[in-house]
Amino acid sequence: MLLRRLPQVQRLCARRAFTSKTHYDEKIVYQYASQQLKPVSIGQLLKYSQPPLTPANILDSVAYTQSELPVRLAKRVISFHNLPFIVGTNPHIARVYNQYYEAFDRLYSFAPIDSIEREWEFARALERQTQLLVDVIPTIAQGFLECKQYMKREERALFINELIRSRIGLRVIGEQHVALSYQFRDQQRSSLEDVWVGAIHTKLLPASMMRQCAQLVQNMCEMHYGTAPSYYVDGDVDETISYIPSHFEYITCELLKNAFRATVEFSRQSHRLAHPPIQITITKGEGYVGVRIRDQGGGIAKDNMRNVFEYSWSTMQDDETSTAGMSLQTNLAMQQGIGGPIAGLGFGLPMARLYAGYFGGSLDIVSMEGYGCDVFLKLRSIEGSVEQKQI
Amino acid sequence: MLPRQTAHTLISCQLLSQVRRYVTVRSGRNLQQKFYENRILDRYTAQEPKKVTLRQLVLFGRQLTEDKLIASANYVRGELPVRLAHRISDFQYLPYIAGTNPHLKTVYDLYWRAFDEFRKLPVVKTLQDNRRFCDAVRRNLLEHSQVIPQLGMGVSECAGLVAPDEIDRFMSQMLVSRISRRTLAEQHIALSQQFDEDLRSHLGLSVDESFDQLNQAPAGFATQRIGIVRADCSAIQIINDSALRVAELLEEAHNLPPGAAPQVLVEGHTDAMFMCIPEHFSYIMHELLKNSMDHVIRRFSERLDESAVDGAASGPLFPPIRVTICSSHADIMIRVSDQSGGIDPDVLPYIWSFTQPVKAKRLHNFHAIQRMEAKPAEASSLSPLVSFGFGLPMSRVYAKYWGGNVNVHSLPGYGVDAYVQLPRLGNVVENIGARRAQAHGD
Repeated sequence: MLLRRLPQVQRLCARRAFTSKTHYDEKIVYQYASQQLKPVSIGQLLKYSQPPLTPANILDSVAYTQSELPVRLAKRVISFHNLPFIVGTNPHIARVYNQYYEAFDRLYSFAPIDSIEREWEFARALERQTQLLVDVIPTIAQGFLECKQYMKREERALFINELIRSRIGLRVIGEQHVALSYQFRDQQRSSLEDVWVGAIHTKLLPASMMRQCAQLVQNMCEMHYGTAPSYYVDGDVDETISYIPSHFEYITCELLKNAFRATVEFSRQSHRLAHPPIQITITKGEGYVGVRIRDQGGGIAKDNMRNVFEYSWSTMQDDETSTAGMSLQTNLAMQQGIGGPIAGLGFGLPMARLYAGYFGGSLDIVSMEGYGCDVFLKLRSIEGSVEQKQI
Repeated sequence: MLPRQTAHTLISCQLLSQVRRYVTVRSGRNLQQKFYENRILDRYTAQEPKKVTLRQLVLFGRQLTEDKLIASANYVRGELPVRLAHRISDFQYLPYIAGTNPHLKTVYDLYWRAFDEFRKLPVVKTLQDNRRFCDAVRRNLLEHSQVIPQLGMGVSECAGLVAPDEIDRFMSQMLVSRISRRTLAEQHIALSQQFDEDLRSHLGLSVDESFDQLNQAPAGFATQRIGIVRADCSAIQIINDSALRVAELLEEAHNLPPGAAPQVLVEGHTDAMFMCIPEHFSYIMHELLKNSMDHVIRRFSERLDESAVDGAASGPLFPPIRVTICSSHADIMIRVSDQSGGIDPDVLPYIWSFTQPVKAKRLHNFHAIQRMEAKPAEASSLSPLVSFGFGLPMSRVYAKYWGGNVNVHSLPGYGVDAYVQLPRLGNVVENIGARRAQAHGD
């Protein structure tokens, strides 16, 4: 077949010689991958914001999800084909490649859904699938760390950016549908507050979320270092925003981890007796919320500033980054840890920035070398009035 | 057209202003004449400016002898026409419609005359020559104090006629070169004055006795001076001085009782010192603190009215402005943090531009003043509440000149964080930008 003579197909076949999975027809993947990608629109996410949810709503949502996810998964699969062969044979990279291929297989093989019962099966399958893909980022991170010398920095960054951005989209669509599915079924049993539209919380209180995250990070810091700075939250503490809590939490935890860690280490380095507190200020603008996180962690050296948003770049000590000996299970278990593989593999800031930018927000860092850092996070409220499109 | 002899008589008999009018009437012919005179300019634009660092300026003055002073005079004598030539060339590459704007044309003519004058100055060989040279430079500095308002007016009138980016680049280039020429000039004048003072006291001459006869310093005479540069400038001192001055200005403008203006609290590395030209740093701090204080006062203006009703204020009316100094090995960074409510989102994209339409209205305010030197000590006849839309971009020009920068982060609904970064050690070369790019086809 002509298809088999294509270099990509040859590479694919060669690579699969190293994996244990067989796939019955890779032509399907190409078919789906070649379809046009429809950006996620906020309108779609907020379509069912008026309670109660009807069966028609749910079937509509699943139809959208079913049309979107396989295309996106197929594109992820294909994106691996252009990696250098040696990179593709790295066990971590190969593992993620297979995970995506399997996810595609499972989801695309669902027939069009016409009943609520079938929809529930789909939703549960989707939920399981999301769980299976949860460690994609640390795995890829590990893989690329091991493949550092085989790819140029820009190529690597491009691939990872695409992967993460696309993954955010996949999860937003998938989680939104699963949440809606549960919401539909729960609303019959209890009177649900109408603050949730699927995975979006329309009255999220940034101040309380910041306090929770700061508390969590402070605890982690105490566990890891035996000491931790205090924090306070001021500004427009009563303002609310419409956002996906898990995104918000992820971003702020990453930023707070950096702030707490830097403060403790700088105190140690400069023989400071007391840790200056972390200052968190919430501000509300027109349609978005601003968060400023200020620390006195010594700042980032000017030479390092251009690297902080790069992947696989980290100031963590070498012995903490060599997790090659540790099993992935251990890595995952430590995932939330402050000294865990995420922090060491240098993915926190670039990912946080991608998440922040996904719905039109931004993340900026100002470093005052020898003193501390100011981080300016801006998150746009996910509201129907502002039509934004994301990939 | 007047015959040549009559023209000469006119120039020799009449006052400068009348000559100017004569020149303007003939401006069309002069422009075309200048086209051919440009060959002179080309000789100078072909040369690169010889840039200096602050350290070099300081080291120069460590052992200031007559010979060195004269060398300095000749360095400045050579540099000024070269740097002016590059800027005149910039004017020439502006779109025609902008170049014929009367205000820009005024500056163009001023620069041409200065260029002509400087390039014809004789070599400086003696102390007396140097004094004459300094007088000529001082006169020129004074005459050019109208440049900034003229540029401001010209640029505001050209908004809409020329692409904003191009005019912004032009303005920045003009301003940074102006700073560089004035810095060299003022440094030399200051060194000369200081040298003369020291010489005077060395010879036992009183202040009133003139120098007219003294053309040569005694052999081996040397002094230690560094002119307008300060090698160990205390950041906190300048910040506090600026804060006091700004508070006074704004208390008067807003009709506040003395001491009621927002407090400026300085924290961080309060003992930080760095090498700088204090006037430049002072300008930047003055502008930033003025912005912060003014907007804080406006934001909380209801509190003003309330306190007026109550009588004596029970506590500070306004949230303080916090200034944090941070000193690292090579840089000093100053953060000015206020609760002014943030920058108006309509203006925010344009705060660094001189020329966006939203600014053009404010630049028009330049019509009300004759002179501006962009110095902190300037007393303007206008209230500080009148905005030219100029302070921020000019601050950045000053900062970038020695390799620093000014940045601003707005927290809407809350306040503004402004960051000034400056090199500490004085080992960064003047940043006066690239010369004018050659036109295609050269």
